[in-house]
Amino acid sequence: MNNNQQCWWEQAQSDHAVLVVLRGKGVAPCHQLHYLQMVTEKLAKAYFWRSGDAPKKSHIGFAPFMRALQHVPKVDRQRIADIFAFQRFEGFRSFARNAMPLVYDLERLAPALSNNGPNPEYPWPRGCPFCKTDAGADSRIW
Amino acid sequence: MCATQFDRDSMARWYAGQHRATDPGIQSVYYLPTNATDREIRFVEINELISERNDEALEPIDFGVDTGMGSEHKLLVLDVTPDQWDRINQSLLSLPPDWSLVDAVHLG
Repeated sequence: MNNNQQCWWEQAQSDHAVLVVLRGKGVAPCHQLHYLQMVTEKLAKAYFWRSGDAPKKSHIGFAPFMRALQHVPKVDRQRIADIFAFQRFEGFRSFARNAMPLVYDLERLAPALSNNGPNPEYPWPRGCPFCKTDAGADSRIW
Repeated sequence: MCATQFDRDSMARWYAGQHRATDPGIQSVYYLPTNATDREIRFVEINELISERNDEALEPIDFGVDTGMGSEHKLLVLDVTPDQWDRINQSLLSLPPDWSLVDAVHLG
């Protein structure tokens, strides 16, 4: 891990610590999801700094990160499987592939990527704040 | 560092297969060799699960592979929606600077 990766990794851990506090206190799901989205984005930023160049500035990253984890070199595969509590890497890969639609939903929680849909900062469609309840119920990740 | 032999076209085919196998959102992968360096693989991946953005320039993600090793190379992936892909082909939306569809190869 290079120094740039270390910075993003530590910030991801810090965000995760806040998420744990929010979950423990049972605060509204939108706030927990806000931190969950930030944790995943910063994990991805940490990963993509491996090239030595700054990752793209947008909030996109978690889905490519989850894709990259599925084709790590053979020497790293068992370590990845262990982290995710799978006995074999193939089990992790199958899980990750099936999780990709949810991964994209999670990535889309960033307000800049939610377009006119709800997001954790403004948990309602842009054109209809009063629609909050329905939007929440319809959202796969909410 | 010893310079390991790197077969860019073979690696591109392998990556394309891997990406399609690991992400159900990817409908098609196009390999864009024109203007890329010998150790750079450029993909446009048409992805139906990504969020469409209309207010920012298209920018690839650098998967930077084997950094610091003899097999080091760049894998640059530009994810676009089907609609964005249509607009790229109609020259209504620009690829990143220096990227070109000339000699693009459809890898599935």
